[in-house]
Amino acid sequence: MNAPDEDAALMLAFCAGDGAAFEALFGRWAAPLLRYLERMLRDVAAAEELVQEVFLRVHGARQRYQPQARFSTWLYRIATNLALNELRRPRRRERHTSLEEPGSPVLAGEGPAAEDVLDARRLSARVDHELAQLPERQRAALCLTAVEGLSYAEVAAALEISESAVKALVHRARTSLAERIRDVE
Amino acid sequence: MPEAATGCDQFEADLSALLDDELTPERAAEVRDHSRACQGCRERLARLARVDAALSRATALAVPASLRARLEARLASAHESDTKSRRTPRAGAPRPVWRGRAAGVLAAAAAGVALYLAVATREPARPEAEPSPVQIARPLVEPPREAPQQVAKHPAPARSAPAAPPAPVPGPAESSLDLASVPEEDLGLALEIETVEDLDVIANLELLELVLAAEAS
Repeated sequence: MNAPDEDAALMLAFCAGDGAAFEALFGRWAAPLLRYLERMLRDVAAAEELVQEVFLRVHGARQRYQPQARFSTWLYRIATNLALNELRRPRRRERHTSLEEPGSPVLAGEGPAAEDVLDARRLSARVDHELAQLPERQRAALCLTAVEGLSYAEVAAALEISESAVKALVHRARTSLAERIRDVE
Repeated sequence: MPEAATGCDQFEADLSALLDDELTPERAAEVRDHSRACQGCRERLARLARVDAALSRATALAVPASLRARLEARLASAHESDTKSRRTPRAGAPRPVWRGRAAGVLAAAAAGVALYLAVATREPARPEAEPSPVQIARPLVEPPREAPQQVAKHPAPARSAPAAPPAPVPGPAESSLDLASVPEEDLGLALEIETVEDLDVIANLELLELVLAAEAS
């Protein structure tokens, strides 16, 4: 990393006592984290809890933070580890309160035909369902790249694996999902 | 997805990487050229791209106002706990939750010990490869107080598994530690504890208790 990114700069400002910078980080990252964690857990309430946990840890790290990687990579690393821990909890209940359930506002329609919207919604719901069936790390790798837009290098740092492993995970996940949704028009 | 044809094998693994823009320009051009010429790979690429399209269709989740409020409440609670437990509170109004450093060093450590023990008795042991919540909260680069080779990515197992209690101190049940005999560096670590996440810098709870006792006396 050559220079601190904008988020890292905000974090450094927070470390220096600027509380507004922490609020700014929350404003920038709470929604993407919620989306990612909901995809990982398929449980909105649990995802919200983990978003809180992530920011509690960010808050707690203010005295020691040093921007050696992108802030987002660090953030997703925390979130991923929390999600994996949550998924491995033996008594974790499958509450399935995903926003993809019927009645939830899946699509913000921009005017496409109702039938197209329904098709798209059906496909999206099916993909999310099938995504939950994938191994956890495949799910994380695919979400981080295809949805959150992280590079393989960033995902590798977040998951603490090699870039080649990320490439393989993403390919397996995408190929598996593609096959699973093949029957959906 | 059906197996790729023999001639397509060399492109199969790079189809995803092409979608992720992770190939060199030269390799990306090769894969694109092949996909244009090969119907099987073209269809395969389209199926993979369909996954991304479906994944990206979900609405961005709105962050409920209650989430922010709950976070503020938890931060306030932590701050209040710190303040109450402090032996010599500073004069003046409490600092805003979102601002400034947490106040109670040793008090937070005491609360952290309780939480740590509660968690340790509740949660099953994780595989060694799985970083603990404590580890992941650690900064990417530690201050020089810690051995660099033991932080963040590859911490010592004894300090990494929250289910495992800290290494017991040999000797009788009564404290066998004398603060005067504790290396200054170790004491420094104990005194720097501020949050639950810091607990993994101290493997010796007895040392922590001694520090707390010394502070109280």
